Amino acid sequence: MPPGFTSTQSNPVVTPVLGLTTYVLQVTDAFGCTDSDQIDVTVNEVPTFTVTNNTNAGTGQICSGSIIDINLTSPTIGAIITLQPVVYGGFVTGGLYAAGGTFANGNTITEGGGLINTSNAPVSIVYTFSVATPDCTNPVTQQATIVVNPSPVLSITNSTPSICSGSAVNVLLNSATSGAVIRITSVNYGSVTGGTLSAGSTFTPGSSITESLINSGNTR
Amino acid sequence: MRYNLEVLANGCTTTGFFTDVIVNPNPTFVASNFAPEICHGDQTSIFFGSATAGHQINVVSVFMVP
Repeated sequence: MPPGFTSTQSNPVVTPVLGLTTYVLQVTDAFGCTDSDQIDVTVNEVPTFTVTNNTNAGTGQICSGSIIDINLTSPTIGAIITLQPVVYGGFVTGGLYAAGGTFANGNTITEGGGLINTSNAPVSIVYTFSVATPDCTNPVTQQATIVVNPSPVLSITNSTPSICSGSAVNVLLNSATSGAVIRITSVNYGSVTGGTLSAGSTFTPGSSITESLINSGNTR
Repeated sequence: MRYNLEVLANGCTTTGFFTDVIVNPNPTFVASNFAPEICHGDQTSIFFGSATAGHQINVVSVFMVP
């Protein structure tokens, strides 16, 4: 018992501290007779842990094909961090933890081959962790979410691959990727005049490049 | 000429797209008549010239001037 603790209850309640505590109990009856006994109680620590999602500077967002960075730490000696089976869904491939896994303090989950989003929209993957020691389990789980963004796609329909000087080009730009923006990285007009586009010009999917171009020379 | 393009979405970029357009020059030509007046039965002498590469000159009509 803690020093100075007395109780007349047949089942006194105390709050033990971490580690091994020896409780010495002494009983005295109405006649002044005494007896004593002792018991040992070992209180094990409930393990704690921290999940830090360092992926893409902590945003948790990656582009298709990239790796992730989820760091697992625990100050509890002997702690085993368990990853529940990860549901990658039908559009993300390359995941290594569909069956879950176990990790130790300091381990990092990277999905080393990269996660590939085969769809045209972002997909969220949730990693759920728990921690336990051989003696105790922490009932509180923690999660890290990764958003796997698709590689944007572009379709170009050039209905004017060859025009006469003074005519307009008509190039339809489209993308099935949600939120896509199409941007010109460079234009090489050469000796052709009349063009107005330059690097940085942007288009929304479904719009077209249309501009009249002039070839004042005698060759293509 | 060539338009080089990329597409961006959700912080991701795919590069390397392009499309080409050939802008053909409007052909020009000059007709030089070296024999504006000939005798009956003689041949005409009209020279057609064009600086445009790959040109083809077609006679689209011939008519008599009263």
